[in-house]
Amino acid sequence: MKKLLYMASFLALVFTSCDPMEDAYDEVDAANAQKVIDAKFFSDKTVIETGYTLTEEDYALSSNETVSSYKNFSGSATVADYLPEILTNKKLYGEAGVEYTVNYNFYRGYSDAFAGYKMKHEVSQAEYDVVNDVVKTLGAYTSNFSASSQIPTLLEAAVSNPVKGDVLRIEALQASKSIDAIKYLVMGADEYTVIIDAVKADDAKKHLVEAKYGTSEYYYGANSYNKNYDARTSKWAAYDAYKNMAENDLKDLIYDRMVESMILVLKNKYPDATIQDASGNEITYVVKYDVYDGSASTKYLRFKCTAEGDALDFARLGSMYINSVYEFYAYDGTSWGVEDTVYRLTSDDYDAMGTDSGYPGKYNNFSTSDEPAHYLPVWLNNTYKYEEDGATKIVAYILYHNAGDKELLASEYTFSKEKGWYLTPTTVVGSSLVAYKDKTWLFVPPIKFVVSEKAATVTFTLSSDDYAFVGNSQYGNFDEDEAVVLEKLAKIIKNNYEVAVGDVYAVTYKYYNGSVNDVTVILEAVEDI
Amino acid sequence: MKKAMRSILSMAALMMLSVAAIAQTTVKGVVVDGSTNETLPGASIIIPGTATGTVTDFDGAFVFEVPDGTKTLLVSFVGFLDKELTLNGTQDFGTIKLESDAVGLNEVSVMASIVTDRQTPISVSTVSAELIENKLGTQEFPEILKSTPSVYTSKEGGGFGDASVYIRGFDSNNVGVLINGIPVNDMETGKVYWSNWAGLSDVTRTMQVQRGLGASKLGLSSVGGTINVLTKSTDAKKGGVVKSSIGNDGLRKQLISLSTGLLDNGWAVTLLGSHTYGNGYVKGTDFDAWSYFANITKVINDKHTLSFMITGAPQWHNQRGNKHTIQQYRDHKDEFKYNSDYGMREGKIYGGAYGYNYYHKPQAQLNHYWNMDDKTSLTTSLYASVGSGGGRRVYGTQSKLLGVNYSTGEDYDVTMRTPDGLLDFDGVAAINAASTALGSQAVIANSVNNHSWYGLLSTLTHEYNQYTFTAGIDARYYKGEHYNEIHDLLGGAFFLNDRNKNRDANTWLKADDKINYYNDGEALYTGLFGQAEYAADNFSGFLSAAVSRKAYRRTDYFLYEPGNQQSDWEDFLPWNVKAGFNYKINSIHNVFVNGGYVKRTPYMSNVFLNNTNEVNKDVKYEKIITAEIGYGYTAPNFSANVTLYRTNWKDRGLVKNLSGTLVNISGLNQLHQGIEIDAEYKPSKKLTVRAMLSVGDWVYQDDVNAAVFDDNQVKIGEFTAYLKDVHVGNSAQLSGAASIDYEVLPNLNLSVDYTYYGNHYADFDATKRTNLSTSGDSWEMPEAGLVDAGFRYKFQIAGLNATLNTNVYNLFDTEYVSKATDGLTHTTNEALVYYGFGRTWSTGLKIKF
Repeated sequence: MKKLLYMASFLALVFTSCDPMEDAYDEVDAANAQKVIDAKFFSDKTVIETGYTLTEEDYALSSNETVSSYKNFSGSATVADYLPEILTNKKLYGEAGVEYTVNYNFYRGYSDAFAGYKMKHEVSQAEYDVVNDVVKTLGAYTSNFSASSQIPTLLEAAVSNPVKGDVLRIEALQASKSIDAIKYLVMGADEYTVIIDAVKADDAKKHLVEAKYGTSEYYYGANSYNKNYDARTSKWAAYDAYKNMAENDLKDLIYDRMVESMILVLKNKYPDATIQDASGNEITYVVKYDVYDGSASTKYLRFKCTAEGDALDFARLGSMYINSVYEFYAYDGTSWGVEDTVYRLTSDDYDAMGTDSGYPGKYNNFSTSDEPAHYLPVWLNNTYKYEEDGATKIVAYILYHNAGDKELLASEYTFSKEKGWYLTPTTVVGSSLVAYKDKTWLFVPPIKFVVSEKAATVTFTLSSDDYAFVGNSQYGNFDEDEAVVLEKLAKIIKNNYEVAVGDVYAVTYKYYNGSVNDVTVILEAVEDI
Repeated sequence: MKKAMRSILSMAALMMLSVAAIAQTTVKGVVVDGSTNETLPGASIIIPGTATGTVTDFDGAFVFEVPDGTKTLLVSFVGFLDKELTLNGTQDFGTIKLESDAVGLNEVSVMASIVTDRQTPISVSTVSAELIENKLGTQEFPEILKSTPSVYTSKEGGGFGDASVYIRGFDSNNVGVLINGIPVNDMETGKVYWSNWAGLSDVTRTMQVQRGLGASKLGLSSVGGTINVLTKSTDAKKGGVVKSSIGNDGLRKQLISLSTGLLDNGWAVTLLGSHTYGNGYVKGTDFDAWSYFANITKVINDKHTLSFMITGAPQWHNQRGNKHTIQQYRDHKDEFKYNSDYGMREGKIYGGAYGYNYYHKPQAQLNHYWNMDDKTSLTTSLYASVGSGGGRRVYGTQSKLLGVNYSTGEDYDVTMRTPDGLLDFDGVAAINAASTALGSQAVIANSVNNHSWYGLLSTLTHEYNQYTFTAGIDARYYKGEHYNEIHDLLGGAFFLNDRNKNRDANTWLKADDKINYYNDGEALYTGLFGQAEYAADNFSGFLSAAVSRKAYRRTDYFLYEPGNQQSDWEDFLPWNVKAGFNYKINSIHNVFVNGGYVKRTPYMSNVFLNNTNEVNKDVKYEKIITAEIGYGYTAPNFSANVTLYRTNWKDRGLVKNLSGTLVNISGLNQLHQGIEIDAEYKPSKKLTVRAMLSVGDWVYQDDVNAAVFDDNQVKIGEFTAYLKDVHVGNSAQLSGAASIDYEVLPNLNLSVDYTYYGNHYADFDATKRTNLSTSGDSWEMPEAGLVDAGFRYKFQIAGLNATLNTNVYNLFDTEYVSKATDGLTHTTNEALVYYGFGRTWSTGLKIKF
């Protein structure tokens, strides 16, 4: 009897010792685990609001350097590639199935019409090389081989597959004289030392060598340390020889001495100089030197050889300038030529901006103190008052840097009825759609669906989850207008598939119109422009 | 009675051996029930003052070797008065008749169709008063049935009296409950609220569960079964009982019962009163219940007995009305005792909406028993019951301040709670006080359901040869009053409610004013029934039929103007037919088979739609077809029963509005079938082992499809519910139980009960399964095995019989889910549940004088 009891109680213990709720708690925990993970994931995130505009700090979150430093997207650092990352790094999240609009700065660069005017082509040494020896040596065009004569050829070689209307801005160096043959001497430390040594060797002059370092002298004015001629009358006047000379007379003397010294150097450097070259062209000996007269300038002097051999001698021909020249060239379909459609500010135009000193009209150019951005909008507003909203205009003008560099530039302005003419921005505000799916931000390419007859690439029937996704969970069918239904179908398709332009979906859904019937529609994904 | 006392051949031999040494006299006899002449197996015969005795065998016979000089023997059997036998040497006493210890018990048994097995082809389980007393303790009254086959009981939210009972997967709407033969299912909804019968545990003498159609001859709508409760009738013996119990969570119960016994002048009076109160196991479920019972009998003469009985149980109890998800319980400091539906008000616990219930439903019966002659008797019962009470609600534009979202188990965003997490009634009272222009934003209201019913039940029984014919009348009138009334303005000055068409919407309403709805439901029921029974030595059979007229009428005082407030009587003609056959193969084996067809009236909510007087003209009757086949085995110390059943419930009431057309949808059918096995093994007088196994397969048979067509045969509306082979929810389809009762020491009994529940699917609304993707079974609860244990000790105090009874329920404090409502995806984490109670206990001392 007792055995029976023991057996029974043991059995009871066995049956009841296992906890009925164990598995149930595991199931609940598993279901909640995902919730806990989600809660943790979302705990430090905020929901995005549609129409959000990226701030400067947001761009800094990008891993792409151009994006983070320029605070904009561009053709090379695209929105599609880099916007999702910023949103993720900014700890934003979105609701499933919703497409959010995000505004950002986009560097679109110059308009197609204007881009060419900004596209600088600086003539390279290699390009000078192919012209002739003189140009090659100088690294600049000469009057007899001018930029305007050479550039078209250059462009033909430089630009492959030009399209009619292409524009380039050419920057070149142009010497102001014709030179048939050249010998080019750049006055450097060596050359100045030659002069100084000559002065040192001459007892009559050696007292004019600067005492302390012996790297400059005031007979010719050479300074081997600074590698220039010192033309400061004040310095020269310190010496007895020149103390009592009149300013202008001293200046003339300094100049003559300078020329003399160059001949000296030429003789030294070209002991075998000839008057002509092999082809019979007179050789121009060009000396490039720096002179300091309170400000430094680089100058050129031309010489010719007057006597060869033992009686070697040179004579000054004259000065020469090498200036920067600028021009717009356009391709007309067959060849390159100077671009002639762009409006170039005329003298009258500059004058209209003011002719007094300090105004563009005085010298017919802009400068660092008279910036074009300051004057052009006003001039445009005065000149072109009645324009369409969004009209653009390209204006070419001169920007003065120094006597040798008067840069030809162009700017594009856009007209707005509200604010008049303003510089066409290279950075514009753009907006795109993004969506948040499976805890990831996705760029939504602008795609819309149109009803089509094409063969479907994907066929599917809506499930109850799909109806629930668009708010039709109660009945599991649609009963709205076709337009609304198509909108909802678009949403559903985008949620279920990675849609690419060209995909064709055959969707079957239930439609309620008093009774429930199955309806199939074919939708093609096209670009939403 | 007899089933419970089904005994076996004793250790008589052993007993006899122990007295072998002394010279002995042989005594023999056969013990029978004095009123029916049925033999009583297991009756005990003892030498008074000693432990020497024997028990009657299977045929009620005994042979007893008594020592010479023994003067008297005492014959006793539960339910009968002890009988003393005087010895005069060797004696054959022949037939020894024991008299029932209750007056009029037999008559009421007949009226209630109490079954004596092996004769009636019905599957039954009987629970004796002794078992109720030993095992019930602090459990809810229906829980005493939990060890019987195909029964699932649940404490639901855990409030006092809030339990529910299911038989074969059918809820109380489909289980007939009879108290002393009087049906007590609500006439409008079919429900039984056990809180109305809080005193029943004290006054029940016998409880019998008849599964399936049952033996009741009445036009009942028992689909799952019938629970037949017989209250005490008048005790034939003078005396009384005093009982005091304590239990977990402050449970206290005091009971006193007094009987005059059957006096010489034929009068007998029994009175009983009890008081039960406690804090409740679940937080915020304190309660206070009184119960009273009086039975006055006058035995007029041999032929006539008149008996008056009245019982009632006025109670209030705080409840828990909202289920929660498993995780919500785990997250809360009170764990599964968490109750979201109560709060604090002025320092006291105060139940919120669906958190408090009060009711008092006395039932009175005047029974007349007329034994016309040996073969004919007429039993008539005139009865009345008046119930009043209701449940707490919160109404107002801001009622959500004190509310919980029923469908998620969570608070609303606006729900106001104190720092302890209780509903903040004082806070809301302040809001109401400040709302001077619009009045109270949330008031305390009662959802009142008063009812009164009056009935007559009269049964004529006549025996003719081996036939017994029964015929009778069952007539009832019921009126239920349903309204909301303001109980307490909760700090405000007035309340505005515009739902009464006949009252200005700007009227300032105060306490006791009715709001929201006010309607009466009336039901008039007149039925005729008849049964023919044939009993031979080896077989018996019966055929019974009942037909009735059931009429409903609805009166609505809010939605309609005077003169237009009362609907017409809508009447229906439900009927049923039953037949059964029992064949006794021999003394050990018997088989039975029964079947029946019931055509049942739709409930009032399907007749009058949407709580208006709008009548659903084409409402359908529900049909129930059931069949059972059973086998019984009775051996000396072992008995077992196996029953196979199949119950098909067709055309469950379902009304839908499709495209503006009202459609009564047929085809919501349930098929409940299964096997029930129960066995009892009594190897000795000291040990009783019982076991039960129920394997059920209760499913919705088919999908429901309904379509509405217009005149041109074009379909304009459709309804589909995907239910094919989906398991019925809300009760365990697989259950088992085993119990051991062992007399460890003389007068000290130990008992252990093990109950197992499995295949229990969460509750769901079948009519909402209209989406194919959410079809399939609802969430299946984890299976649970629970152990109860108890002991009772009989001893003497000052010469009086005393019993100390202790019970511990869920001994191992097992956590389990006892009820659940399915979530949309049928997952564990979405289900809304009630947990079963953890370990609870009670101990009581009863003194009989």
